[in-house]
Amino acid sequence: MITRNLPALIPLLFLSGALSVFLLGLWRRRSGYPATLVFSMTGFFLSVYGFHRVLTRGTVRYFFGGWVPPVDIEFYYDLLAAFVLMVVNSVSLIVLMNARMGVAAELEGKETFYYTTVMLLLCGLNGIVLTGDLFNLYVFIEISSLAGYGLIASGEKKAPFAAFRYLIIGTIGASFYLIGVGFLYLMTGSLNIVDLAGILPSIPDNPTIIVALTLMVTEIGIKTAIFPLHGWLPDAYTYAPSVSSSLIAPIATKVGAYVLVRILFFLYGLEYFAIKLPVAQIVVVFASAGIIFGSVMAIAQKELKRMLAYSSIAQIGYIGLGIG
Amino acid sequence: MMFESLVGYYDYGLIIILMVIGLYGMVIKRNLVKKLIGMTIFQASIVLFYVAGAAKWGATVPVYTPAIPNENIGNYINPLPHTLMLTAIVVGVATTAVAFALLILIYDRFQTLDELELRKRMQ
Repeated sequence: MITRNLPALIPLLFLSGALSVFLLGLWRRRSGYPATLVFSMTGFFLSVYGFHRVLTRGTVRYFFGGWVPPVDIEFYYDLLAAFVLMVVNSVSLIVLMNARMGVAAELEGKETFYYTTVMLLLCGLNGIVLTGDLFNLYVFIEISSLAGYGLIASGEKKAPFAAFRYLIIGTIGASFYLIGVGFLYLMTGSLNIVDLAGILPSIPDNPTIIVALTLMVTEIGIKTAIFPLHGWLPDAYTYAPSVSSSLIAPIATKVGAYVLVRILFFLYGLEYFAIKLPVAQIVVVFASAGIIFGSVMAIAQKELKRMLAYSSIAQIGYIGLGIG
Repeated sequence: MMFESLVGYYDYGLIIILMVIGLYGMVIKRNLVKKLIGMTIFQASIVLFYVAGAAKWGATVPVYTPAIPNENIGNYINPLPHTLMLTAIVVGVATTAVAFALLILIYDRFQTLDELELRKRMQ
């Protein structure tokens, strides 16, 4: 039972985690943190088990309600997804293990709501990694972003303004992504990534498809904070509580890089973005600029958290360089 | 030819105008609430884009009746874009709610929602 429904279980685990942490925290304020830890640990073990299973048995395609493409919502659990899922869950587990003192010191009396939002963030991120459906991806991106705004805004005095700027920029990005998905859907009549990857080569050199790719890459660039689209990041990471920064910085932006890999390599394929269009070159140029810009700005900072924020822009540049 | 295609797709033209109004509000306006209103207009334009894309002349609602043969799929409207937009509207409402919560926090702490004034008081 558990092995067959494993892909769907992991995001649902964190969704139910959000609910139970909230209710337990209302009942006894101290019980919120242990519950969070239990759910995070369960998610970690499930993802390790899933990684082992994918490694030995191959890709799992989980169809919700038994529908088949193109009308289904699919969770696509291949080796890449399993690996990223394991990284996300292990990093978040390590951060949460050390979160207790930090949260108690910075957010006295608001721990329950904080841990609930953390669970929602993890639900969104796990969903992004697992989903094989473009619109479902949009929904999970918005779940994780909304939780991220909340986690950032709970910081010091200037944090809500940084979170509001992030919200406006992030929502424009998500809307661009939605337009891109709309173009793809109107051209092909499918939202399933595997299904679309089969359809796209049959309509080459179509300007609509190219515009869709541009819009989607722009959105991922905003969420990943690739160099010219990084404007929201330094303020948000500086003013957020330290637990939020250490939770969002390593996993949320890297999951964005994973989505970039998914869309470039799995949806459009090597031929589209490397040979016909200069997408790969553009990503390389901006990533290199981002490495230099991030490193120089990091050296110039006096505050430690802001230095780390600029350093993470440089790190994202390295990831982009690898993808390009 | 150019003129004909412009007239034939007038609905998309209106959607683009709406989109530009939303972007203008977000970029130019100094008041944060007006920025938020711009964001909502922008999202509404995307909802309209999907609905306009699914529009079809001479088709009916996607509920099967024996009177209308379903051999010809053109007799029925595709319901999926509308369903997707239902989800997108819900997401938009949630985003607006979070944004207003942030605005309340900002106003409590700085007693202003004007962007330039806010930056001055944050120094």
